[in-house]
Amino acid sequence: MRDRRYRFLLVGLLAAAFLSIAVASHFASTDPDGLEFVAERQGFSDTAETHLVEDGPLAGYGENLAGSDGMNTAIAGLLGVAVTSILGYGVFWLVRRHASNRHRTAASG
Amino acid sequence: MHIPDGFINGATSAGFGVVAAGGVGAAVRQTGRYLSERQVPLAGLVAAFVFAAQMVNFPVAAGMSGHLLGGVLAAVLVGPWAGLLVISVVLVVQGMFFADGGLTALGLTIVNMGLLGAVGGYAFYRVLLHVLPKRAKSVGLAAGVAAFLSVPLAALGFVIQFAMGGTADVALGVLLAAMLGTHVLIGVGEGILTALVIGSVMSSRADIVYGAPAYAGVRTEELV
Repeated sequence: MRDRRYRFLLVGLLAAAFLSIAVASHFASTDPDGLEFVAERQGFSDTAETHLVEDGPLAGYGENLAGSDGMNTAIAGLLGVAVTSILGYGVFWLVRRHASNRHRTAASG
Repeated sequence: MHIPDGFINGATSAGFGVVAAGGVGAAVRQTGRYLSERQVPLAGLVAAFVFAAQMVNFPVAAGMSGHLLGGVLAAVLVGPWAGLLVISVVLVVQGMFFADGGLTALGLTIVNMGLLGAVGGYAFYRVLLHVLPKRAKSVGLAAGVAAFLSVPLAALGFVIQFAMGGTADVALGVLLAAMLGTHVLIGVGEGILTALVIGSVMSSRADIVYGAPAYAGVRTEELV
């Protein structure tokens, strides 16, 4: 029972991520965010340098992809969720393994 | 809130890169102490959710939008140090693949959104939990208010970085007022979203929530 509800929570988080992407691809505001807005108003937005991966396939959450705006955002978002899940899982798996190895070494030594 | 390259000079960016690396190192050690094997997929998926949620820019005022930072959200779910790792993973993915947030500015942004937003925001959460009534419902409320406060805190971090190494000539008082004014508004959205997510997880699986106090672990309205 507990395990089933834990899995339910994991599926729920993933579903919430997909829902966010669906909302982002159709309804998200394209206005500048707080920092961009302030930078424009205070006249220092032009000090921003071109991003290293500005021309990359996923830059600007799909701006560089062919196809409709909403679909671009959705594809970029889904890829981002996949990459973040894998990297996140990998990082926490390593943190966990590193800690248990150290614990074992400390216990035997 | 993602700082592009160029806003802050190289020396200051490098300095905050060192601070961020130290924070992430501490987070790896601290997280290793308590994270169980079963929490590994949860932490990974929290990162995925924060990534997706940050894509939803909501309108805040005329001509301005805001998006979730997710620091307090992640910290309450998986702990403040794991929360810092969650935010760092999200920022690395956004900077490396999505051209969102400069790569030399990564340390600056990790300090603002991770160290201040997640770890600092979690400190607010603990204080609020202490003063609010000892009910399960207080968890979502404390998380929401802490999340609200964490956004101007992160904005303050940027102003300090700008004071140390901003490349443009902007009056600091004006910048401070502008950053706090806009980010208090964005914080309202952050607070509502965080309270909703934490509240719904609390009602389904309170025992998985790292920041939930013992009295909220069972589904009783009032216990203490």
